[in-house]
Amino acid sequence: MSAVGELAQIVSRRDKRGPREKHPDNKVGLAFMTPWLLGLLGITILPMIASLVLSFTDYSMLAAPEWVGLENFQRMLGDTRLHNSLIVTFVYVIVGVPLQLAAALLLAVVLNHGMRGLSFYRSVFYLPSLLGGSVAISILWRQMFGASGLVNQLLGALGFENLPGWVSTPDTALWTIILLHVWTFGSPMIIFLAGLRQIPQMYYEAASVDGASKVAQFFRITIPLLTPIIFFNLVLQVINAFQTFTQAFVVSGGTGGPSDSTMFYTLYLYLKGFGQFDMGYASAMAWLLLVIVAIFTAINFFVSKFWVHYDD
Amino acid sequence: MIDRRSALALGLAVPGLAGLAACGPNASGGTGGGGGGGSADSGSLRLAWWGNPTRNENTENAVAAYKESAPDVTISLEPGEWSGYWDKLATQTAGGDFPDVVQMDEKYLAEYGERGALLDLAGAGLDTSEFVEGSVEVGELADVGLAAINAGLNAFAFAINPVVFEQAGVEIPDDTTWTWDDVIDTAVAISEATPDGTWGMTQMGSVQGLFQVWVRQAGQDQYKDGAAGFDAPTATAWFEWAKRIQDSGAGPDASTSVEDAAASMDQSLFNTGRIGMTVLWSNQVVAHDALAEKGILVLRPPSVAGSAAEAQLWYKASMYWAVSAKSANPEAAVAFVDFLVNSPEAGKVLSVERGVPGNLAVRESIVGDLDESSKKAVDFLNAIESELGAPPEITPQGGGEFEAILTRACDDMLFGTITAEEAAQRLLDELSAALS
Repeated sequence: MSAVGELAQIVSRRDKRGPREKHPDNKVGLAFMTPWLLGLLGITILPMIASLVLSFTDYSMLAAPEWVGLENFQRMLGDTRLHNSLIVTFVYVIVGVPLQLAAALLLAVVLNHGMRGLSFYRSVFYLPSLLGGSVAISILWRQMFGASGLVNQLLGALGFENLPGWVSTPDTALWTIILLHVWTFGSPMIIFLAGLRQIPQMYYEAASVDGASKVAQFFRITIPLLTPIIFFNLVLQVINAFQTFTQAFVVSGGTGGPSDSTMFYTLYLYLKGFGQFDMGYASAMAWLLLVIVAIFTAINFFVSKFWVHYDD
Repeated sequence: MIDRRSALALGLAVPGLAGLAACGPNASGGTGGGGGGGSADSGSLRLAWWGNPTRNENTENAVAAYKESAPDVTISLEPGEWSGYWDKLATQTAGGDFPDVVQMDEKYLAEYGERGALLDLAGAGLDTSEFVEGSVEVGELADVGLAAINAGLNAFAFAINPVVFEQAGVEIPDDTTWTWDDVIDTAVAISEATPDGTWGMTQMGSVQGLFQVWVRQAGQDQYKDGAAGFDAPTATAWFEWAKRIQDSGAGPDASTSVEDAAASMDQSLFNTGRIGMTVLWSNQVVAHDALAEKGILVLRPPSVAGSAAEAQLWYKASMYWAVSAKSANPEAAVAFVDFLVNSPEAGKVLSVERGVPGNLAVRESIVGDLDESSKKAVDFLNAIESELGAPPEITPQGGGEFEAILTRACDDMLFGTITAEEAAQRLLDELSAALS
C-alpha cells in the first residue's frame, strides 16, 4: 500500500477510537519533543503572529510600528511591480516544476533498470539538488550564462554567433533560473526511484506476456501506479518553488534582473522590506504568499481525486 | 536507574536545549557591546564600510594605527561591496544589530537619519572646527543635528583608459570644450577602430551622478524642495542620449551593459581594457588607477555649451561616517570617528581614496606626500574649483530608490520595451511616488 494511503488509513482509524484513551508513552514523547516544540514556538509560530500583526501596520524598522489597517493590502491591488512579480513567479512554478519532475521521472526510470555503478550515478544525480539552492551555485550559474560565460564560449566554439548574455537579457534571464531549478531534480528523483521499486514486477511480466510494448507498459502500469508519488512530489515542489529566493537574488545581482524580468515575489518582498524600509507592506506580501500557496495546494488536492490512484 | 532509554533522552535533550540557547541572534553580539560601558578608551566597536581592495587595506591600517593610541578599544571590521551594503545594513537594522560606526552615503542619510538611527555627532562633542566651509553642513539634518560627518570630498568625473585610446589611434579629447555629442563621436571612433568586444564608452544612461550633471546643465537639479527637481523633457533628452550610445555603437549593447554594471571593479570592462571612457566619482580614481593597465586619466564631464565653466559641477561629500544612535559605546565610537577625520595620522593612511579630507589641517599635512593616483584626484578637484555651480539639495527621504528607478527605466528603454519619453515619464512618476 502506498505511504500516503497508509497515512490516510491511520488517520481515519484513530477517529473511530474512544475520545479519552490514554497513551502512557505520551509524557516521554512530549519530553523528547520539547526542544523542537520550543523552536517551533519561538522561531516559527510567534514570528508568524508578529508578521500577521505587522502586516496591518506601517513599520520602517527604525521607528515603532503604526497601525494602518488594511492599507497595505489596498496598496497591493494597485502595485504593478507586485503583479509583475506574481507573473514571474507563476511562470517559474508552472513551467519549472513540471519540467523538473519530468526530468526526475525520466532519470528515475533509467536508473531503475539497474546497472553497474548505480549507487554512484544516483549520488551524482542527487548532488545538484543538495547544492542547487546555495549561493555558490547561483554565482556560478550567473557566471556561466553571462555574455562571455562558459555556455556562450561553448556555443561560440560550435559556431553560433551574436549570442546574448543569457542572464542579462530580459527575455532569457528567467529561463536560466528555471533551468537551475530543473537541474536540481535529484530529490524528487530519489523519491520516484523508491516509488518505482514498490511496483510489483509481476505486473510487467503479465503485461509482456500479453504482448505490451515497453512504452505501453510505462504509460499503463508505471505511471498510474506512481501517481501518488507524483502527487506528493508535485505538492512539495510547488510549495518550494513559490518560496524561491536565493537563486533569484544572486543570479539577478539582487535587483530582480534586467527590467524586473527575474523579480520573484519573494525578492520583491525582500526589496520592499529591507530596501525601502516598508516592512509592514512586506509582511502583508508574505501573508498573501501564504494564501496563494494554500490555494495552489488546495487545488492540487482537489484535482488529485481525478488522476491519483491509491491502490487500496 | 540510568537505562538506555533515559540515557538517550538525556543525550538528545541537552544538546537540543543548548543549541536553542545559542540560537538567539544577538546572544554574543549584545553582551559584547554592552560590556563596554561608557568609556571612550575601552570597549568594542563594530565598523562597517563598503569599498574596494585599496580602501579595505587603508581602513585596516587606520584601525591598526588607532589601536596604538587607544589599545583598550577593540574594533571589529565589516567590509563589504556597494551593491550589497545597503541591504545588509537594513537587515542589520531590522535585527537591532546596527554597527557602531558605519560609512554612510548621501542617498541614505535622510532615510536613516530622519528615522532616528544616527547619533548627533555635534551634540556628542565631535570637533569640526577645522573643516573647510560647507563640508560639515552637508551632513546636517533638521531634526537630528549632525547626523554624519563628511569623510571626504569628491566630484563627478570622466575616466579615460589611455591604452584603449592608443589601440584605436584616437586622440584624447580636450575636456574644457567637449560636448555631449563629442563624447559619443569619440567613442564611436574608438569602437570602430578596435576589435569586436571593445567599445568607446560604457552605457552611462543609468548613472545617477552623470544624470545629475545633465539636469543641472539644463538649469534644473535632481531635487528641489524635497520633490523631483527636473522635468520630463529634460529626462527624455537624457534617455535619448543614452539610446544613441547603444544605437551608434559607441557603447556596448544592453545586456553586456547590464552585466558590466553588476561586475566588481576589477572585473569591469573598463579595468580590463575593453572600454575607452567611463564615469566615476573623483575619489574612485585611486582604485581604478591601480587596476587599469597603465593607469587612467581624469577628465571633466562634457557640457552642453562646450565650455567647462558651464559644466555645473559641484563638490559632494563622497561619503560620511556616522555613529549608531543605539550604540552601546557612543563615546568610544565618537572618539574613533574623531580620529578618522581629524587626525593627520589617519589622514595619511586613508589618504584621498575616500575623497579629499574636509579637515584643512589634515589636508595640508597629506598633500605633499600623495602618490600619483591620489594626486590625480586632488588635482581634478582643484582644477574645477572655479567652475562649480550651486551646491545641490540633500537627497530627501525615499530618494535612496532613485538609482534603482533610473536603472530600471533605462534598461527597459535600452531593451526596447519602452520609448525614451515613456522612460522619462516613468522616472518622474516613480521618483515622486518614492518621495511621497
